[in-house]
Order: sequence, then structure tokens, then C-alpha cells
Amino acid sequence: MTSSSSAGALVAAALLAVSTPALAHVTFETARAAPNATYKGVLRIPHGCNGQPTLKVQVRIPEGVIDARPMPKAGWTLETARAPYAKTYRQHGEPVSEGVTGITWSGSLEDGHYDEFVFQARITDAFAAGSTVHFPVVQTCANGTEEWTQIPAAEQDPHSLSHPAPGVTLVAAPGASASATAGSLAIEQPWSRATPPGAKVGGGYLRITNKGQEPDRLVGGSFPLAGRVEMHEMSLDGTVMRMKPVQGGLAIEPGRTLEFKPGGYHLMFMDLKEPLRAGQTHKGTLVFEKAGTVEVEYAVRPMGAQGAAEHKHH
Amino acid sequence: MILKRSLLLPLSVFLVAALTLLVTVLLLVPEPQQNQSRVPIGGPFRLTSHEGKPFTEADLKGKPFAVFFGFTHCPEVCPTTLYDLTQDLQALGPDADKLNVAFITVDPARDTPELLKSYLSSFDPRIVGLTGTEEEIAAVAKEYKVYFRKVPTDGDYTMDHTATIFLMDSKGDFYGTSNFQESDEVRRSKLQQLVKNG
Repeated sequence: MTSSSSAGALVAAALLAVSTPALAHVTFETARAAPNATYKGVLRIPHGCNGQPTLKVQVRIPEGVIDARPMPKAGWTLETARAPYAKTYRQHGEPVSEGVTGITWSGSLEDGHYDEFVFQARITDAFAAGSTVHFPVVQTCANGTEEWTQIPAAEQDPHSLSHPAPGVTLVAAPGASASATAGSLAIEQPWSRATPPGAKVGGGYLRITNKGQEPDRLVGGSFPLAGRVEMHEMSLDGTVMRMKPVQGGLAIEPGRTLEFKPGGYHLMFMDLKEPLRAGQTHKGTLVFEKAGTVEVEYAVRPMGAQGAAEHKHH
Repeated sequence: MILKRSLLLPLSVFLVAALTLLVTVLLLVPEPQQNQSRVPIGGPFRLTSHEGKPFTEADLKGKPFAVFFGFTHCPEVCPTTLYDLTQDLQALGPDADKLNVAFITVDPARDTPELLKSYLSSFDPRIVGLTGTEEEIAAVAKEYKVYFRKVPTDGDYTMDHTATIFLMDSKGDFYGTSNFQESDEVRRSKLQQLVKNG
């Protein structure tokens, strides 16, 4: 009895020894993010290096992630490294070709203590929904380092790595499509509807709120699968469905919301080159008189859809 | 008493006569009344199906049927209504085979049989698409009191059109209407009644 229970304890201790490092990786508090959106990364540092206190936490911002902004931390000095990006990205309609590529916090964190290091950054459309963005982290101590820099290969299980880089998986929430902002304009939930084969038109729906002090005007837009985008107003006049092209754009006064929705104003994707299929996302643009050209991403909903999301899903 | 007794016979004769007259009137009158109250919606037409074959009202009659006018360059009401009808036919189960459903284009210039065929491949295969010449479409629209008009856009056009779903009985007479704004429950119960009584 005595020998068997001590053997059991030994097995338990061995299991604990094996499972402990897996629990103690450097990870993000939120490992999911919306594609093409700003992400708040909270890095969790669970221990030092082999019992020594952590003196430095360094994060590398990968290509395709722009506008990185670290959160200063009391008792820690903050440094950022700036460098040109490999590609040019667009932020608020403006080209962006360089920015913060590394963040370093310097201070001291006891091995037995836990702390969090925070930054925000925009994960651009260089990363598709479903992909994982890895942020390599190096923890530096007085003697030695812990390098959380391993990036799993395509089909590799990240749990099989001893020092995986913290990752964020991009998840396109169905219906809760990406929002965009352009200056003082907030553009919410752009969506479209699947079209039957042979259909030459599709509808685009979204909400634009003017949070600024100046009026603006939506004057046009583009959609990748359409020859052109028009604005139409639909109305039910008795039993007759009437369609009226909007001339000269639509004004959005300060504090007001312009809504494109079934049964009212809608964007018309004209001369569709191929059918829109449920589950797709398509990037288009909206052109405003003052805010300029703004990228929007339409989530394609099933044919019977009447809104950006089913009510039951919210 | 004497007076009442003496009146009993003539009174009962009168009552029987009156009753007979009333029943006769009730039996006779509804016939002309029904004819007068027949809603003048629907009638003969000559069109072409999405299979490219000649198609007339005779191909719909024999079963109750639903007719909807629209066009494929229609962003919302037409695909939504066809989608709703597709869901309805599935919900009706075996009863769906006791019903015909037709989609008649008001835009024959663009909606060829081939285009209708590919467009309708997204929907229930029992829905037949109908097109024709401008004159043929104008004639069937007139039979159904359907309004349609071209609305010019930037170098192109869209259409205004009546978005009613016409419910017709097996003889081709008007039975009722529905539309895309009605709830699924209401529309389906109307279709069920049409299958039962139409």
C-alpha cells in the first residue's frame, strides 16, 4: 500500500512537472481579435527566468501590424523602436510606411510575482480571418533570457512548442462585421446579401454616424465585384415598390446617423461580375466629400437576411 | 282565442310560403352575386418559361397558384420574395405539390429565359420563371393590374413594380394576396388555405 501510493504521488509529481511549463507560457489575455481592427494586447508574464527576476520585457511588432502604442507602466521605463514597414498600409485613408516595430519595458519583476504589459496596435488586412498573428516576446533577466519566439508551422500544434510566441487568432464574428472610423465618421456593420447566379445587382447596407461638428456628404463608393456603386432609395408606395436613384450624394449632419437598410436607402452594387456568397467578406470603399475615401468591409449574409446579424445572435 | 284559431291556418300557410320564397331567394341570388363580386385580377396570357417553352395560364390552372412580378436586377424585394416562397414550399411539405408558383419578369429586355433559369437555380425548382415580348409582359401585367415602370439611373435603369404576391384558385380566379412584408406565419397560413380551398 505504502509503496503504491508513493508511486502514485511520483506519477502525479511527474505529470505536474510536465504540465507546469505549458501553463506558464507568456500569453495574451485575449487571444482572439477582429480582422482589420485595433487590438489591445495584454501580455501576461507569469514568472522570471529560472528563478531570477525579469528585468526587461521586449515585444516585436510583426509586419502587417501598424500603429503600435505601448501603455506606460509605473516603475518601468518604456522604449520603442521605429522602423520602415516592408509594405505601405493605409490608416484613416492615409498611407503609412513606418512605425513602431519593437517595444521594451525595463524594470524589475520578482520571479514569484505576476505582471501584465499592455499595448494596442492595428492588425491590418495583411492577415486574413482565421490566421494567427504572433508577437515574439523576449524576457531578459540578470543571467539569461526566456525567448518566447517560436512560431508554429502551418499544421503544427502550438502546444507542442516549448517557447511559443504569444499569438492572436483573427476571428470574423459573423454579422458583427468590422467597423471603421474616418475622422469623425463612425461606420458600422457593413453587410450585403448573397445573390442568385446571374443577378447583376447586390445591395449594401451599413450605418454612418457623424460624431463631429461639421456636416459631411457621402458621394460614392466602390465594391470589388461591382462595376460601380450607386445609392438608391427604396420605398413601398401602396403595393408598388419604387426605386429612386439618389442624386448628388447624401448629407450626414453632425450628431446624425445615416442608415442604409432593407426597405430604405441602400447602396447598389451594379454590374456584379460574380454572385455574392454567404460567408464571404468583401472590401469596398465609401467616398465622402470631407473625410475622403474610407475602406469598409462587407460581410455577406445569407439570402433571406434582413440585417447585419440574426436577432438571436445579437 | 276564436280569432287566433281562425287565423292559425292562413298564418301558417303564409309562413311556409315566406320561408319557401326566402330559401329560393337565398339559393338563386348568390350565383349572380358571386359573378359580380369576382375580382377582375388574373386572366389568360401567353409567355415563355425559363426552360424556353411556351407557357400559358392553362399551365398554371388545375392547381391553385401564386404569381409574383419582379425582375432579376432587383436588389431586395424580388430575391427576398423568391427566398420566402422557397422556404414556404419546403414548410408546406407534400402540400407544396398541390400548388404552382410563377415569377413573371417586368424586365423582359434583360430577363431572358436563360438568365431566369440561372437566377432561379437558387430557389425552389418548382418555381417557374416567365418572360416574353414587351407586349406579352404588358398584357399579363394588365390582366393582374400590375404597375411597372422603368426608372433611369446613371446610364442604366431599374424598375418600379407592384410587389404583391397574387394567390389564385385552381380555376385561375383571384383568391387573395400576400407580400414580402407579411410574417412567414401569415403568408404560410394563407398558402395552406389556398391549397385547401383554392
